[in-house]
Amino acid sequence: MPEKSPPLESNTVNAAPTKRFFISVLIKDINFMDAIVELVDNSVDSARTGSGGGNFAGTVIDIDHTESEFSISDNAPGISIRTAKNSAFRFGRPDDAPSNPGAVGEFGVGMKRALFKMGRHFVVSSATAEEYFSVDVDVDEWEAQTETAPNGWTFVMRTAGTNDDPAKKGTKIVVDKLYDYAIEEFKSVNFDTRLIAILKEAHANSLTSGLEIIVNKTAVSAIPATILSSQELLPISYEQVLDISGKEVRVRIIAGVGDPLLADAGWYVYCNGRQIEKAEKTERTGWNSAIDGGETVPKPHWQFRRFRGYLFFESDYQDVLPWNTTKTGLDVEAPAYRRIRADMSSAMLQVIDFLNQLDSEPDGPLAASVAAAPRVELTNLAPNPSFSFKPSTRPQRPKQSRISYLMNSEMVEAVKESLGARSNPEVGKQTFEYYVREEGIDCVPEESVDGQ
Amino acid sequence: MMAEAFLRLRPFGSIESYRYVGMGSVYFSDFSLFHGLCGFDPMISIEWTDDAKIQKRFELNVPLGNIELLFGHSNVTLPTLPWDLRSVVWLDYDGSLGKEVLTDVRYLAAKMQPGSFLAVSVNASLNDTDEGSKSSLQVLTDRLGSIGKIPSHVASAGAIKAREVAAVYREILTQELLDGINDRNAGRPVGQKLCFEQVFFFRYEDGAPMLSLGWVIFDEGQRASYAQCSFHTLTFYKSGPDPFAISPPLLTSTELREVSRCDQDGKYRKIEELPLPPSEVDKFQKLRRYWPITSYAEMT
Repeated sequence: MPEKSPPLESNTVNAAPTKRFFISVLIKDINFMDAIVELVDNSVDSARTGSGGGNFAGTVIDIDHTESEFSISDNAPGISIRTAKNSAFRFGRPDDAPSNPGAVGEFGVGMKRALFKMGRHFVVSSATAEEYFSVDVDVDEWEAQTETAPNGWTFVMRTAGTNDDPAKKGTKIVVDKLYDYAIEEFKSVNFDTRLIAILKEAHANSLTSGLEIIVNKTAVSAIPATILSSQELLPISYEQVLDISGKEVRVRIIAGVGDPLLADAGWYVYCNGRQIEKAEKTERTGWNSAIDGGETVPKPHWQFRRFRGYLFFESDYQDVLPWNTTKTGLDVEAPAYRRIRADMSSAMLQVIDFLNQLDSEPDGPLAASVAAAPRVELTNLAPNPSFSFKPSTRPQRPKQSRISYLMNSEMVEAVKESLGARSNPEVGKQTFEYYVREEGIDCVPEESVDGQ
Repeated sequence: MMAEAFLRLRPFGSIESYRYVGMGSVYFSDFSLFHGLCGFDPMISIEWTDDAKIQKRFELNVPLGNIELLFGHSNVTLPTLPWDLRSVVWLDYDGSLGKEVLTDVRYLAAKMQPGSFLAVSVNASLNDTDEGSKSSLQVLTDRLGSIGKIPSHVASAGAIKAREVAAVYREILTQELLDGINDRNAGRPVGQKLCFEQVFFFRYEDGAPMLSLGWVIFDEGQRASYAQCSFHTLTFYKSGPDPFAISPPLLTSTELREVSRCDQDGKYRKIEELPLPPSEVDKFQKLRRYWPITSYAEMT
């Protein structure tokens, strides 16, 4: 039975939020998948405090789900009872909350928002080397408590005490009484595929620094980002330090050329190792302005499918990093981002200029430079303030053109068998060479390059 | 067999009132057959060609006056049709599973009226010699446009064996249909949500390995009507991942007749007495009910 609100003073007006409204607003800004990633963020932050800033070797985050329950556990240092009582479950970050330099979590809302997004009952258990606790929340019961009651905005710590096994540290969260959309997602045959794909990108940095993430017994493996780099093709790579209201923000800018995949082109933005933008190609990163340069007829973006830009923001002060509250995008008004915009634009224009030249001579020496440049991991790039390129002096690849057409499948199979060819491209090549030969067309057959 | 399944829809409404939508090709054999057995009216055939000469060929071959021909890709054409009628839709694709197939399935999940029947047929192979050295998983991911459509156990295995392709395709198609139905159900009250049940899952050869899946879409409140359809009594009924393999027996007409005359009471003779391979006899027995008893010849 909901408790009755205590009577107000005669000259006061109740402006307190209701819990139901508060929860509904809180969870509107995040989608279900991002909610799970939020919980992983918390585990990563906890691991970061124990690792001394970035080496996650030995840290394991385990995610399991059935149609009726979700759980995430880690072997990170855990949450102290004091932190649990005073800040971890607050909505928002109190001024006296312990800092976690370099952490991903900042706004003091991620864990709660994620849990409220998923279901109506959750249990958070955590153990440090010294102590342990567990908080069990039934959201229906909690909502029923009047907001203005003395304990209206609190949870109950069901168990707490000394940890008798200091080696057993970590946090485990279990959510059940799942919402319908959560149940539908967990029932989906491709849910784990999608979650793994997102985690690979979001925590690529941490995964390549020793972190292990397991989703329903499948390990998430990261592929380090690479960019083309050689003596003839040097990407931009430099760092600068910004002072934002007395707080230091380190920014590394990398810009250059990658594989010709439009879906992968654009800007990748990371804050404290957490990817918040992937292949961004909107005006938020200045993409349209850089490509169109003010012209009224926009250029085809396909021409710039090789552009790759990376921004890595690092700071001990999460509040000055340029991310939104859900860590799924840039806060373009953030001072740290505004300060770097001119450098981003300059970097992009240099690479775009090169790509324009490359496009004008698709089989020339620039193309040879690009084709010859190896993929280099971003962490292995040498500092370089400006994009530089030199035409290749190697013998150029002979100019090639692609011929593509449709023919009756039965006829193709018959010709394939007749030629002894193993693939349709081989049929096309042999029949073309046959024609050239039979017609006596005068040209020196170039050494063909398969796969081009 | 498909016509038999469609005829079972009577508890939802008179089968003659259903609209049929298909991809008839120039033969329109499904149209002729289904009109004859089920009495569908109207009937719509979607053909993807903008070649005027080929379009004329289709028009020349239309067998019935109530067939409407629509030329265009199904992704674009299906949304132009009104979907306020109970329908039987058979999307008989020439090619393999790709994102355009999923687009159609997703759209129809959102639009088909309760009591409707959706069937999808696709080439059940991943072989494509144009793909070069790509892995089977990469081939399928490229065709579907995103790894997010790949079942998790397939993505983690990193590859798809040839014998698993049909089962994987079934999972992907069923999930796409489920995703569409779940979206449609968002916000609907309990008891009035839509659902679907698989009725058949055929595997067969038609120049290439093929699969056909069929589902009935209905309202939760119509579950009694679905039960009255008694699909489970069909010999080819398959509601799960195990397919019904259609494998024509290698028997002569005389042998087929002899098998048909046999019975276990021995009034004529027992099947075991026939000098025929048991495996071929079994294949015929499985399909016997639906084996064509006539063939048509046009006299000119």
